[in-house]
Formats: sequence, C-alpha cells, structure tokens
Amino acid sequence: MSDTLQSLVQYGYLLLFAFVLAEQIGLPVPAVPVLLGVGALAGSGRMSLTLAFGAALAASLPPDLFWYELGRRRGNHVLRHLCRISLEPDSCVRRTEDLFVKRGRKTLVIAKFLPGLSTVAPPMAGMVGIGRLQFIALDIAALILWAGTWMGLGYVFSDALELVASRAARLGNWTAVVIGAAFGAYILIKFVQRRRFLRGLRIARITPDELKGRLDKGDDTFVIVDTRSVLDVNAAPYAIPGAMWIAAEDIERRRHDLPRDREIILYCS
Amino acid sequence: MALQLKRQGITRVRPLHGGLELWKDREFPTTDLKLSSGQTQSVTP
Repeated sequence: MSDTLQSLVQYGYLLLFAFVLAEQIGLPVPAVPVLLGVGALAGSGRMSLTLAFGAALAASLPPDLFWYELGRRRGNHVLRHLCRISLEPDSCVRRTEDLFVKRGRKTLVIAKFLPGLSTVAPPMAGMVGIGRLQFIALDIAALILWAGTWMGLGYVFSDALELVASRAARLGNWTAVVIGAAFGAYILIKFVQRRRFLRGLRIARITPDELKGRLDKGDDTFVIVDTRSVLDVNAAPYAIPGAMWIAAEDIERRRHDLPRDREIILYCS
Repeated sequence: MALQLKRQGITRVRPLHGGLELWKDREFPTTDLKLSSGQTQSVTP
C-alpha cells in the first residue's frame, strides 16, 4: 500500500473530521478527495463507512447549527461576513438568496455540492425562518447525500483510486508541489482580479451625503437603481426616493431600461 | 453588478457607499416599496 493510503488508514477518521470541518466553516479546503479516499479504503475493507459517516456528521452538524442560529439572530450581517472569505463574495450572497427563493428548503439538501454555498446556506436557512428541527433533518439528509455520493464513488472505484495514489506517491514531493502551486496560483489570480476591480469601484463610489446633496439640488443627470433581491426588499420594504428596482438577476433582461447617457447609481442592502 | 453593467457598455456606474443601510443610518428620507411579482417598479418621491 502506498504511503499516502497508509497515512489515510492510520489517521483516516481524524483527517476526514478535520477536512469536513474546515470546508464547512468556509475555508477553501476541499474535503472531496478525502471522502473519495475514505470510500476507497472502505471498499477494500480497511475503514468503516459507518464510522466515516459518524466523523463527517460530527464535523458538519455543529458548525452548520452554529451558523443557522446566528443567521436567525443576526440575519444579513452573518451572511455578508461569511461571504467575505469566499473567493467570490459579491456573487456569494446573491446566489444564495436566489437559490432559496427558487428552490426553498431543497437548497439545503444540494448546497453541500456547490462550492462556497455549503457555508452560507445554514445562516440563510435561519434568516428565512426554517424551523430548527426541520433544519437539522435537512442538514443530516444533505450530509448523507453529499458524503455518501463521494464515499460511494470511492468505494466503487477503490481499485482505480489506489492505483492513482500509488502513481502519485512515486512522483514523491513533486506531486504536492505541483498541486500546491496550481492551487496557490488560482487563489492569487482571483485575489488580484478582485483587488483591481474593487480599486476601480472605490474610486467610482458615491457617498450617501453626496447623493442626498444631488437629490436636494434636483440633479437629473443620474438614475438610482435598487438591486436588492426579493428577499431583501421584503425584509426592508422601503427605498431611496426616485430609485428604480431592478434585481440583480434581471439586469441582463432589463438593460435597455437603463440610460447610457446618465450616471447609474447602484445600491443594495 | 457594476462589472456586469460595464460589460454591457454602461460605464458610468457608481456604487452607493454603505448601501441602503448607511442611507437609513443617516436618517435620510425613504419611500415605501411594495413589489408586484415579475415587475420592476419606480418609486416616486
């Protein structure tokens, strides 16, 4: 057996617990490879699927419940805070809200398959008022589906995975270097793109005082667009005077309603 | 959102610093906004 798989057998449940916990609290650490490995080892009789499910549940349910309770009490603040550690924070909140509007409770069951959304779905569930017992039931179902899918694939393809692990182990440290470098490059590119874009927005943004001043003067060289989601508007059913409501997902469809010869001032929550 | 508009050729885009939350904190005036499903709505001052 390769060294990699030997380590996984020795520390498997602990590694599984750690990786699932890290992914559930929002760190960019993928638990899927560990789930595949555990499934492969269960397929060859060296680990127990029952204990593996237990470890994954112990790592997943407590942080999910924690964020759920915070979402119930602190609402949108929690969501924004979690989305800040996402690599796509701007779309993170929006995508989560859109999913809950379109799919309701089923969002929880599928969220663990969607990168980034597995962390923000629990507080969103708290925000929209899903009951605690129902949340726990849905969260457990989601974990069984998610962990079961990947461990099941590992179980079915255990021979092939063991071969891949052996080949990777033969490359030695180079495997880790290449994977680490690719991952690091991806994060760096995302970070640089985001910084450039935010720098541009920071220069362009307008303060409430400036906007109020222009409204008081009767300045008509701009239009105000409220881009909040349906959920946000229902939670706060008021707007800046003169604002046009176009939810973010409708911008593409309604782009012809926006003048090109005037400034567009956007706001959300 | 701003990036999406810029890609569509609408370049004069300015985000409101602090959003609606900061506007409300400043106690600036607001108007009611009731949604009708599937439609956008202009809010008159």
